[in-house]
Amino acid sequence: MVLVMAVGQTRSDGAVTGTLLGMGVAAAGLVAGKAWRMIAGQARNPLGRPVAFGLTIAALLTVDLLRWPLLAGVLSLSLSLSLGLGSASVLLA
Amino acid sequence: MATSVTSPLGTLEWLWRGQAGLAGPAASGSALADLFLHFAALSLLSVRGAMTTAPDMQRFVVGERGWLGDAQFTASVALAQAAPGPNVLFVALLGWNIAGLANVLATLVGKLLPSGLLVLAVDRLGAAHREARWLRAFNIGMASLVLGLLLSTAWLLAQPTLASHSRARAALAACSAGWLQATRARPSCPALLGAAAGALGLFA
Repeated sequence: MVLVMAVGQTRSDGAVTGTLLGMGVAAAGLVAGKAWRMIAGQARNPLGRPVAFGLTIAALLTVDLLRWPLLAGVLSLSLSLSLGLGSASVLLA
Repeated sequence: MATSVTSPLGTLEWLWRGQAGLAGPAASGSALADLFLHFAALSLLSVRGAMTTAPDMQRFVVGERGWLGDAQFTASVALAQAAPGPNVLFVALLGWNIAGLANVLATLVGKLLPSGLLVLAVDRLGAAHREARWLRAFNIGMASLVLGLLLSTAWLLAQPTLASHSRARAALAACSAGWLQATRARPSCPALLGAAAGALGLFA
């Protein structure tokens, strides 16, 4: 936090802008890496790959592409989720 | 438009008012309440960490209200990732960037309190029904959604990199992603590397 306060005071500085830029690029890579690790786990999802990745893509599309509010997006997704829950409970039985 | 700091009192005011200064658009009480409620609602949805709700926060704070620019939003997330401590701190940075410490309280309490209470409740429920089929099914279904939200966050953060067509930036992002595959230790290392490279002007 202290770092940020210091950054705020010198925002126009070129080196500071570069530092923030570099950290932003690394952060993008880190989140993508985290997602990549989850994809490997998702391949073993008991729902089966089509349903598991279908839900993932549905979440991605509603939040990112359509820019739906997350609350409404999740509500609409809960329909497909309940579908997934059904098949999951069958598979887990 | 950083407020210039000339005295201890000025520093205090700067801390309280935040980056946007006295003219901060979100400094009014109703806007604070607005921000608090939105983040509180999101808090209930942040099942696997605060990062999954970043796209919706961006939509609200940058797209809908225009309180912050895209660059400021990305910088807040990036700083929280680089700093030691939980990633949820980026919520505090967002709040401060919008309108100072008053907003830090609104965003952070809004973000932490509801999900904290929910986690407590769910934890008890989960412990009581550990083997219950519906709980396992819910976790399985949620994992898919969380992955989608995480991908969405990555996409959001990658926008400046993709737009720049810079090989140095693409290489750093790839290295950061690779770092997580190779080791579980210290995700702040790639962030600090990026900070150093950026300070040296490698991405200019």
